[in-house]
Amino acid sequence: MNKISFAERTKKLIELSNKNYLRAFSHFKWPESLNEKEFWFSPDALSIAGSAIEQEMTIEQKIRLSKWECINSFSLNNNGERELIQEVSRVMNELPIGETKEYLYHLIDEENQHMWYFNKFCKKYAGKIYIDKNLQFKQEKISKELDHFLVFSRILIFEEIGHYYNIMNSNDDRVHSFVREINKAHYNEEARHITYGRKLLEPLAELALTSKTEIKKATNELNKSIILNIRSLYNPAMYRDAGLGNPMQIRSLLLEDESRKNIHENTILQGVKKVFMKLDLSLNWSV
Amino acid sequence: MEKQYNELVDWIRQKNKKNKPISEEMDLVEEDILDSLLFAEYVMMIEDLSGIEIEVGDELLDKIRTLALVKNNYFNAAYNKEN
Repeated sequence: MNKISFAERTKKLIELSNKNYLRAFSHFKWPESLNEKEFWFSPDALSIAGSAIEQEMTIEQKIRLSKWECINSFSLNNNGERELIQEVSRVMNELPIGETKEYLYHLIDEENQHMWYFNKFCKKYAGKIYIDKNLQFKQEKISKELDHFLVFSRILIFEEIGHYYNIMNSNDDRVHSFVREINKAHYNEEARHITYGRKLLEPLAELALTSKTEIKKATNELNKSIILNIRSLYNPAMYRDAGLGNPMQIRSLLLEDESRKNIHENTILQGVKKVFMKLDLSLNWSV
Repeated sequence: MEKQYNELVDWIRQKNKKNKPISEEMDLVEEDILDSLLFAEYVMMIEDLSGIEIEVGDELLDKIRTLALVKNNYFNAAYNKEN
């Protein structure tokens, strides 16, 4: 079977974006409030799932935590999509990818709407959004080609992790129906973005990863990105808001928990690992 | 807030992978003790121990790059708020 080219794949993705266009601003019927006695996040996807801490928690505590894990997840989406739009806009005119660049206009359009509904959800149902605590430090000078590769690699890491949560939450009927609807809408569009992102990385990697030094710089940056993305799933503010004592200690214990490490490695990061293995990049992270 | 501040000092000393002692006046960014991986952890620890929520922006670095600055901007501020 012939491998479908990047140009052909992009053409199909653009057709799908037009055919399935969802105008989020008018699509959702926003309930006045959401029942706090229901899960807002799949119990199987909670940051405590499978850990020793989970064994000590009551169902009521898990439901309370699920609200704040949902707010953390949607805040991460909001913050990540804002950065994505900024970064894609910064580099898109420099990319040597011909007409396949066309899809980036659809991507920015869809990400803008995601950012809007995640922001609205957090503010409407929790009265706040969690702020990103990371700060971009001054980076060593890198080539334009490596910059392009890293921009889209970081985006793909963020999207692949988010995809896991979209699937877990939209498929779990214990989760509030409106939360599932949001996750499902997000899933549908992110699936296209991920397909495009995986294809786009191939030509960008070929241009960027031309020496051992460049490969080393790339792997260092990607390992960092994975670590920061995983750590952000354990926001102490959500444990605090859920009424759990000693939130920093909970975060540390969960990050050290062997079951959680196994879940990072074999489920949450499964998509990420496949992407970079295909590019012959051997990543090695430890949160 | 003295106890909480000392807890932060102990924490940063534990995280220090450089072979030099950390003083209150040491610039943690210039000395490469605070990097992009540790930064968010450091901010969360300050928030947790001082009870003050921190907005992250370009100007934040100059408020937290030394322990003395953190003490003044967050722990003394929290102490003054309490009293």
